[in-house]
Amino acid sequence: MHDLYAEARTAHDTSMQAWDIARHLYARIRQGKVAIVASQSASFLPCLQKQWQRLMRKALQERTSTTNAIYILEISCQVAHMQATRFAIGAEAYHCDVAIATSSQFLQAPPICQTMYITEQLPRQTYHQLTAWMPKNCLVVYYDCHNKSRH
Amino acid sequence: MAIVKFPSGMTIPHTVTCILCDRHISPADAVTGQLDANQNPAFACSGHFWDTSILICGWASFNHAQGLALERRGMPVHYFTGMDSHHA
Repeated sequence: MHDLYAEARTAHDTSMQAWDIARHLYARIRQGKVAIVASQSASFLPCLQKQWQRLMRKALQERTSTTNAIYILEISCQVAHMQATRFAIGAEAYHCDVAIATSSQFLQAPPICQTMYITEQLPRQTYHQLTAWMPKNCLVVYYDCHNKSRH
Repeated sequence: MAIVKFPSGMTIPHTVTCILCDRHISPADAVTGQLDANQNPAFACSGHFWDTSILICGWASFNHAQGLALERRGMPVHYFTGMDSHHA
């Protein structure tokens, strides 16, 4: 993780992590591919998609409630991005914008992405292996290990 | 909730500017957003996650401003979004 930005965040359970990632992703989705390391990727995907859809509805509400032409234009672009965002489970989902997989899956096929979210506690060495292929100045967001649901 | 590391060679500044409310905040209270017209990451208060209205309109203003900044330089407006999915 030499040339990356790193961010530590706190979320107590999977639904809170999904809520937080959806909002974080809102600002990062235009940067490129996103990888999410989750121990239970199959259950994490619907949680994240639900939050993503909610945020999209909020954006649409915001667009309809404003008379500011700049907001209408930019929010429309953002909503178009959000609608086009494809989520997938598995480290080899190269065609998708957001790939969700376990750390062992990502270790077999390291992600080349602009943003990575790590939602589980991992050994330091695994952090480095997972982020080894990320381009310079990209972002790694990891959620702290005080996750009540896992203790 | 904090920015804990900048790329090597860059020291973590004492304050960063929230692009949504223009306040100077500690990196400990900031989140990293998208790149600006100069290809530097923009920062925002993590507290804005709770107010979706500010979050949505704030990023909309930011996108518009960066688009204008690029337009003045004669660069394509979508350039500031960084690497698109085809480059990854």
